[in-house]
Amino acid sequence: MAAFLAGLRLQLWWARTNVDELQAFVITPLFTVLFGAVVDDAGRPDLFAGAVLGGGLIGVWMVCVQVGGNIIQHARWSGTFEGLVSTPAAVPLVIAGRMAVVVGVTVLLLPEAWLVAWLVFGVAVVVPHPVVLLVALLVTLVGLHGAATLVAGLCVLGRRPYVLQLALTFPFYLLSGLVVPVSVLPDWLRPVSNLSFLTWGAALLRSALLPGEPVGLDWRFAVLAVTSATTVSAGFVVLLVVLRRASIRGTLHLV
Amino acid sequence: MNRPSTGFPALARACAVVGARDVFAEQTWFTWTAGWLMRVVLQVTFFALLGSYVGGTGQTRYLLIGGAANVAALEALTVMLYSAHDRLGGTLPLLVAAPRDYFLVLLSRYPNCVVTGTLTSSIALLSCPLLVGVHLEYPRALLAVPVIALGATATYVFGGFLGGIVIKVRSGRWLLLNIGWMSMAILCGFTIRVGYWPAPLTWLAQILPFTHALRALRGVLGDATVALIVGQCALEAAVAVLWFVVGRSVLGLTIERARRDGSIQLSS
Repeated sequence: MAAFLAGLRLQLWWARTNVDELQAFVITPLFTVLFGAVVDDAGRPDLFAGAVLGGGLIGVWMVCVQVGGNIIQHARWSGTFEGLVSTPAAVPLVIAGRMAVVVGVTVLLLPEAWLVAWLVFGVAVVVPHPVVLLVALLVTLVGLHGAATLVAGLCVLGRRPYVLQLALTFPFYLLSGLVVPVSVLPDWLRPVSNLSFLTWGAALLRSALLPGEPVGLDWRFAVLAVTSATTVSAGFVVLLVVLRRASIRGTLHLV
Repeated sequence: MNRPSTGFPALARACAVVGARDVFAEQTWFTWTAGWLMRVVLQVTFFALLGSYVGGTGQTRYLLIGGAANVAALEALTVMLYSAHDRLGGTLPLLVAAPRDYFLVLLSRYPNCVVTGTLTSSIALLSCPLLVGVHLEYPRALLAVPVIALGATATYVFGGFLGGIVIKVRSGRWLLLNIGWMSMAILCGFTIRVGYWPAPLTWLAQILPFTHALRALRGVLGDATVALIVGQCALEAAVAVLWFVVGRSVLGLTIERARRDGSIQLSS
């Protein structure tokens, strides 16, 4: 627990001193305005809440991929990763603590998107099903924690981590239905979309904003929980593999 | 004895070689194709499907064209990162001390941003219609390529101006790049009609890069008259000249001030 809390404190300090880490709080309002204006100009007020949610979710995913994905890389660049691994603390727990801050902070992006929607378009987003929203958000955040850990591990494996991070933006916005529901995607893409916890999380969050009673909540939440748990497991497996591989090859320090 | 050539062509050639080396140090053909190009195609598909979701065929076409052109704008705008890059790398004082205008050096060094931006944007524009069922008329659609190149060039010059502003920033350059790109995406007609916004923002869009090139692009891919297309291209060229003059002045002033107070080096 001490290792987890140490990671948590370190990430809070890091976020305060690095402006680029907080850029999602500036970019999210811009995405919100963009999507809000597109649906407003098309005369589709029924899609407005979903568009605003999409702006927020894009910010959430951006933070996980870019900030979370860079955690190990930054430690390697600054030469602290070797020191961290040599301490008696469990490194995965320190990383988990740091990721918890990264993912936890993203929760603020959704109310930020709603605030921007209200200020710019004068439309208050109503949440007819707050319990569905809260539970879906909580389980999705667990999956995001795993995804961020997974990306952080994969970034260490590749020589050009930013290429991976760039490739994980719009393709994921599209395949996970963050703004446009996956039902609009071509049929052959939907099986790929269904593998992502984010697809199920985004769909449930969107359902929570619609006035009608959400259907099939039991099985949709079950799939979200399973895909999120799978992502968390994959994240930690990749992290352990990367740590072991780097220790054996002597590449903990970036050369 | 052979004297080294010192004219602008020699400067441009030397700068382009350095810029190309920088690009190949960051990307390989595999990472560019499987990473960046794949992302771009799905990014444009994303915008096209957003159009399909909210408004049908007309919106799909509008957002497809805007989304594709927006890629060229993003790549061209990355030139703004390199002025601070020179400062952080410690080469800025040397470049400033050399007998050449640094703004010209900066712009001469990364024309690859315009070339690759135009290339990826054109590939996305000509391939994504097949994925989302939008019809483009050939060979007329091929005329889109030089229009995209014009918009990218104007954006590149505008990026040089922004480079003059961010040259002393240690962190937050990517944030400023994203703000610039997203603001253009919102205001210049890439995703939303320019006329949708309040009058002051509509006026601002007239002097931002790509606004007129986009009108020309939509005209080329539609049925606009030659006069309208040429007129919009001329306005885009005028916008590029405007930002060249402003950018050169701003960067010149920033560097002059930094020389006076000794803050041109990283240690400041």
